[in-house]
Amino acid sequence: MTSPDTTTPPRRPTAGDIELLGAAQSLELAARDLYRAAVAAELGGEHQASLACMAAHHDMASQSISAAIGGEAPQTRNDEVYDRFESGFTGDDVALTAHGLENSLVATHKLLLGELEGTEGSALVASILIIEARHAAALAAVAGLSPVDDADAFFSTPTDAEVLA
Amino acid sequence: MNHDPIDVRRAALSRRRFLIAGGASVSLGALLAACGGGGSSTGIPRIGLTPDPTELPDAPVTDVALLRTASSLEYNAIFAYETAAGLGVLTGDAKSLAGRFLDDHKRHADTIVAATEAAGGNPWTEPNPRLQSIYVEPALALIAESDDQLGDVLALAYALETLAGATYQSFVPLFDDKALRAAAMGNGEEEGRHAATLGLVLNPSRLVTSTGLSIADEFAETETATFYAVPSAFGTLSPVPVTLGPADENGARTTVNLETPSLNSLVYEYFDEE
Repeated sequence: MTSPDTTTPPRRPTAGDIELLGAAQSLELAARDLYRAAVAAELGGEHQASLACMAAHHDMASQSISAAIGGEAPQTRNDEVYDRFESGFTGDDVALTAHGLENSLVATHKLLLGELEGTEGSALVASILIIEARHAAALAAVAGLSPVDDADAFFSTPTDAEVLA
Repeated sequence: MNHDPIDVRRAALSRRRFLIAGGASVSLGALLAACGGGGSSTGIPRIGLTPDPTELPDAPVTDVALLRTASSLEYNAIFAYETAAGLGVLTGDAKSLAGRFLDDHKRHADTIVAATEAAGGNPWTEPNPRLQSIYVEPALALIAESDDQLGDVLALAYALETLAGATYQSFVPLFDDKALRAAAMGNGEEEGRHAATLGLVLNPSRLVTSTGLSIADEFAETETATFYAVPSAFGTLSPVPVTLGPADENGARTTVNLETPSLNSLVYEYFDEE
């Protein structure tokens, strides 16, 4: 029988965790603003309501991260990411662009899970990550892809998905 | 009601006598116990013989126990998909999707088995015995009698995939090894994608629920549905209900509540010694 590890991970975010979670909050705020821009431009078609809900999900994620790290939360979006994705979210390829963004967020959060020390922050990131993976699958359908013919677009994060700063 | 003061006093006396008699009985019992033989006296007076308590096994929630539980759930899913395939109700795209999901669960099981070995544990390569007996087998038995086997298979798959994703999510804060947290969610996010796609199939008109969200009225739902590609803002660990099987004489069908593994459902390392 394997002995239990005697080193118990900390519950609360460490100083290093706070920095990492702060960056994650800025990403969530950028995602929120990108979806809001798409909704404002009325680019969601019959799935306009779903895009509005996804914007709300990213807003809630940013708020929960803020609650986890308190006064050190940046409360500002990552402008670099926003600027990079903005034209896609306000153009004809909104669903595919959003699909790519969600895959990048999932890849980023998975990397984050391997670095966070505190269990509370890890649990929060996991609960955000799994919904963003579901966003990606839903957006693949909105983009007109087929879960049979384009299965990988639905069921896996691309190995080359960009990890966002 | 009788409020005669004499009757009330008699009742009080009766209670007093009862207490006295009871005290005498306890004292007599203690005396008998003290006089009794027995080589393993604990010094605590007792009446009769009691069996020696069975010592509980050592069952720490280690990373290895969590990994074995994770692989056990993958084998639950493999069993469910293989059984569903045997019903012959999955055709066309539904059959293709189920085949993809089955392959993914086999791959996930392999990765977890490898991680268990890397962590110094003995891998678990069978369905979780408890979840199999309380969820999977009863659910499949209901489907076997169902009037809508295809609908029920899809509903069960949605619930099982949601449960599998939630299980990985629930294990993240329990793992001591940070690398295992990320690896677990590598599988967990794919289970979430499976569930989302089944949600798309079961409810294509509304992909994301507005329940609990602060959004403009024009985007809010007037009625909620059972299935969504994205059912909440965060991955939840709450029970996943699934309604299956034939209706009874009142038109009611059976709802099975699937829950993430509790401490009683983990595949501890001491199982190997039994």
